[in-house]
Amino acid sequence: MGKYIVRRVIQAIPVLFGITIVVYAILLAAPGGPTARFANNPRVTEADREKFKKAWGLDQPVPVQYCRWMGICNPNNEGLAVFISDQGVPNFLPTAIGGGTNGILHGDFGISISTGQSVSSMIARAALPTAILAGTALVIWLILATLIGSFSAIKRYSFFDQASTVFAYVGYAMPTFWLGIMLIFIFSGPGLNILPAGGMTETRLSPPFGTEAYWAYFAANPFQAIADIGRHLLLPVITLVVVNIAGDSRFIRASMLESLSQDYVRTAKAKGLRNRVVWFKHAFRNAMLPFVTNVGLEIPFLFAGAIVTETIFSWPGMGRLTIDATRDYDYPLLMGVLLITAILVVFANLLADIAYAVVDPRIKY
Amino acid sequence: MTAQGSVEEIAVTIAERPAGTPPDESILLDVRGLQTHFHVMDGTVRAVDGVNFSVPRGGTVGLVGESACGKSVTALTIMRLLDIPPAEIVGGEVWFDGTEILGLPEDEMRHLRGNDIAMIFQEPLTSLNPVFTVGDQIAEQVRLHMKVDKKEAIDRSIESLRLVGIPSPEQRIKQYPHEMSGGMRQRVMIAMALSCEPKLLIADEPTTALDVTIQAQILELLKSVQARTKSALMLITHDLGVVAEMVDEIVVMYAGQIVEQGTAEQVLTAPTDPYTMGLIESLPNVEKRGGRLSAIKGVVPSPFNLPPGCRFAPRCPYAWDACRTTSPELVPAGGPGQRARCLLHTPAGAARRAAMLDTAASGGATAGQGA
Ligand SMILES: Nc1ncnc2c1ncn2[C@@H]1O[C@H](COP(=O)(O)OP(=O)(O)OP(=O)(O)O)[C@@H](O)[C@H]1O
Ligand code: SF4
Ligand SMILES: [Mg+2]
Repeated sequence: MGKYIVRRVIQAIPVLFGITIVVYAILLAAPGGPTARFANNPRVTEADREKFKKAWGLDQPVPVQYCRWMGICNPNNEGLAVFISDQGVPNFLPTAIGGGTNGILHGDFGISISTGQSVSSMIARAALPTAILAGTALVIWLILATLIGSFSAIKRYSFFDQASTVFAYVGYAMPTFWLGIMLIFIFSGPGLNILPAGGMTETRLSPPFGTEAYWAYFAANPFQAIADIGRHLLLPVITLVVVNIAGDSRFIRASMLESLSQDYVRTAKAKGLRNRVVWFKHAFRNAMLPFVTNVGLEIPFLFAGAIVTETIFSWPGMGRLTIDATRDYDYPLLMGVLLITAILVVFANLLADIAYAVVDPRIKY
Repeated sequence: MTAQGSVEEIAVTIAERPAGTPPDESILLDVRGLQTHFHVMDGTVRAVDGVNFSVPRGGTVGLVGESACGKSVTALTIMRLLDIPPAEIVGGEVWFDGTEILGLPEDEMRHLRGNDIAMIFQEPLTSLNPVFTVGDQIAEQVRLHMKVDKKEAIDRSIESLRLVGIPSPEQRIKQYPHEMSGGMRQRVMIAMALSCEPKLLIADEPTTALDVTIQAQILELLKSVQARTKSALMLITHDLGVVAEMVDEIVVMYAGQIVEQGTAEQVLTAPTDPYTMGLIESLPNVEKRGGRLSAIKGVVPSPFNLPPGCRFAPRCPYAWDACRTTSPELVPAGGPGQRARCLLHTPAGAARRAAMLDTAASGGATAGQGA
């Protein structure tokens, strides 16, 4: 098992490397470019643009730009010496053994053009709110989808099954933005007005989430802080759960129906086992196998930011960061966000494969 | 009482029993007037249509017939493993060990399954759960019925694997089904079925999916463990060659009905129903196993469109007008206790049968044919 994991991790390295090239190439191919942010600003002259390009290294050939972003080249040196770090060893080596300090290879995603802060710190700050939102929604919808899907399959064509089918299709067909806006309209509108319409914390009560002041406030009033986040979580979580539960509960229903019709289920019944054991031990365990992979593929996109949901509810997470970066032509930030998303996909795939190997004894590793 | 296959006893086992009263003490399983239908989109399939037979304690009965004649459905009805709907048990009684079990509450039925009545299925490759070790799967059943602790259940599982001739069972119980061959898996199924020392073992085509060489081994094994454990055996097959060596009594089914029953010797050497005769003729050689039953010309009638009169009439070489209008009953024919569902054995057919026997005696191959 350990060897299998190591092998899969090593196999992931060239994939990740390829991803950096693809991310870079896509953004290079996109119209506009970093200077497009000045397009509507009459005060920025052509000379200013050139200065901007030089300052951000955009005057260099594309391979050099890519290598600097990656951390293979050293921005401080010229000519062939670009490959050498300030300490005089190849720049791509880890910082600890005297390699460079710039670039992805050294955990440095560059500096955001719009805020001047480091991209890594901006991502780090957005990651926690997204993890809170996505994690809560994911746990709730996986549990509900599993329960609904299994019971629908076991009580096939019952009223419960029919009702959950209708619910699933309605949820599936409902656009996220529409559902989100309706929820805000109902619960935060002038009528009921019982839940906040957006944000992660009550601005009158607490400092902005993630700042030092916030953590001080959190340490002082932990219960109040958690309750506050909980209130703000409610509507976006409901939105994500309703929209996502449909597909997964259908998936589990289909998978469970398939298991229930297998010969080994008949064998289990012939042994005299209770229906409960037949369903939830023998059939369920098999029905979960394909679902593990399915969830593995869903998770990264959720953590990359439920873009629409986060935008509607002004949730300060990865999704909002992506939208902001795109709107501001903030290329370093956008590249960072895309790369992190891609890395998440690769690792989620890896985890799904490993989980699959753990639950299915037939997988050879 | 357990003398098997004696002519007198057969006569007793298939005699009419009054409904609602238990059968003789010597009878383990008594199936009476069993009717199982399936309600499907195209209509109703009368998969089992009035089946009567019984299995003596420790006895062996073979259920034979072409594909789709209702053998598996009969077995699954006895085990009460059919999904209702689409299945419906329309009528009949199943007496097991002195109790009528079709009316038993589900939790009492569950105590019988795997404990007193065990079943082996046709598909060893898919009948074991792929995500649990074979040891887990056997021990699960042992713990359920024998009320023993985990350690004891594992010991018993190892013992039952040893009983079915699996080498180094201590290692084998830790394996998953996919790590074993088809023959091994069927041995595991047999071990599992026998693990709680059932009174009745139902084997539904236990060798159909296996290689010919493995088939012989598995049948040999079934026979020897049956003899050793004294459990009764109901063997379902469409291979007459198999039943010849395995069972004392034979029940032949066609289109949901029994068409002939009697001792193995009666049915195999002196068949009285034209369908059974066809089955035997279609065997390349009774000694040689593997003969398929499909050699009778014509096809099995559609369950939605059964012929009026005798269901075998469209394929029967002896059929005459009456066969297409009158449904034959199962009547005494041939040796003591032997029965056949054929008009030739009624007064109406007596003259024809006499003529047929004459022609047969004089060596005519197309005996009985004609208007
Ligand atoms: N679940 C079901 N739904 C509908 N019809 C069924 C179902 N199970 C069996 N049948 C029908 O009942 C009839 C008898 O089937 P059964 O499985 O008992 O045949 P069999 O004699 O065991 O044949 P085989 O040798 O192929 O196993 C067939 O016509 C079949 O189509
Ligand atoms: S009743 Fe007629 S058709 Fe049916 S088996 Fe007998 S002879 Fe053939
Ligand atoms: Mg069958």
